[in-house]
Amino acid sequence: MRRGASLRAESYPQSPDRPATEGGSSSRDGRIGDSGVELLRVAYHATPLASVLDTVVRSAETRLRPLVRGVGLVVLRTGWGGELRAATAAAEPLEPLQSAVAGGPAFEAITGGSPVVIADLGEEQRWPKLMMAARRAEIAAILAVPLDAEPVGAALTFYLRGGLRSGLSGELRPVIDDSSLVVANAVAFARLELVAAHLKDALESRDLIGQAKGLLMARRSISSEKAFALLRETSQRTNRKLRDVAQGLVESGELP
Amino acid sequence: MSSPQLQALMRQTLGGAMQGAGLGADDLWRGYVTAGGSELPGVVDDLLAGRQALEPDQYDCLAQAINDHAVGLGQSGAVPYFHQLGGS
Repeated sequence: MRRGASLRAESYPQSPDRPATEGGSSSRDGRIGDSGVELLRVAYHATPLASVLDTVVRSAETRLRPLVRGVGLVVLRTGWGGELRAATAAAEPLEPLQSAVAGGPAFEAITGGSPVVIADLGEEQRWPKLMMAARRAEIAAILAVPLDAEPVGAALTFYLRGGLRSGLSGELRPVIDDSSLVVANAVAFARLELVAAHLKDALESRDLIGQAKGLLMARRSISSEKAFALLRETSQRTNRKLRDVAQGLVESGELP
Repeated sequence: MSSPQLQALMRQTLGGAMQGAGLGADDLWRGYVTAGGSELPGVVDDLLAGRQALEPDQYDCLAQAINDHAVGLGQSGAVPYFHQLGGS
């Protein structure tokens, strides 16, 4: 397979020229401006994860205007399966053309742990549907950058208005760093909320199992360990969940 | 503590059963706590990875978690308990 059109990020040209910016809130070097402050204000406890990720891509696009036309975000290995996505309006039709099955620059960036640069969409052979759609959307180049957001894998895809040029890496770096931090924190917070919800379920089940153990201990004059082992063996023998065995015992007074 | 051979057998049994049941680390931990386990998620990761020795009670709770998950999927909960693996 031909891979010549894809370059490592460190190989794209470096010279001091920069484009003029437009809009009052973006910063020419990507430092936090008015739009970047939006990231600092994210209230993780009160904002759904999907909304946080939307904020990340929207902020990145605003800070990097007019350099980028659209920004996409993919988050993998969240701990609860599946993947998370966010995209700005211009990137929305393009992002679904990248997937774990079909591949794409973001997925390759996550897997390889380094940026994937597509300097010439006409030459890139690996993801033809994405390249065709991007050219129709007047994208000149695509840059996918992995985020430092362990334990999740995540990457931002920048759909660039102009071709690759010098100084690009320095302009993107603050946006990438800020996005990494926000994605890592948002996913960590969401995981903690999930763990708390799981704990609530688990504690309710354990209470039931505790009652069942107590019944067995009283009726059969056995230890807590023996009662628990009996419940487990009944679960295995009857192919029922431990919680269901305990519930049956508490409700009927009998082991199946 | 059980022998190195039994430790390896316990890990192998749990790892294979987790994969067979399509059970992820978070769901395993939830099931483990439900089944009486009391370690934090990171410790369970360490137990499965062999960074900490598995105690029989911990193994039984993990086996129960996998079996409960399998039963929920309509499968058979076939992971043996510690004493059925030859432990005492």
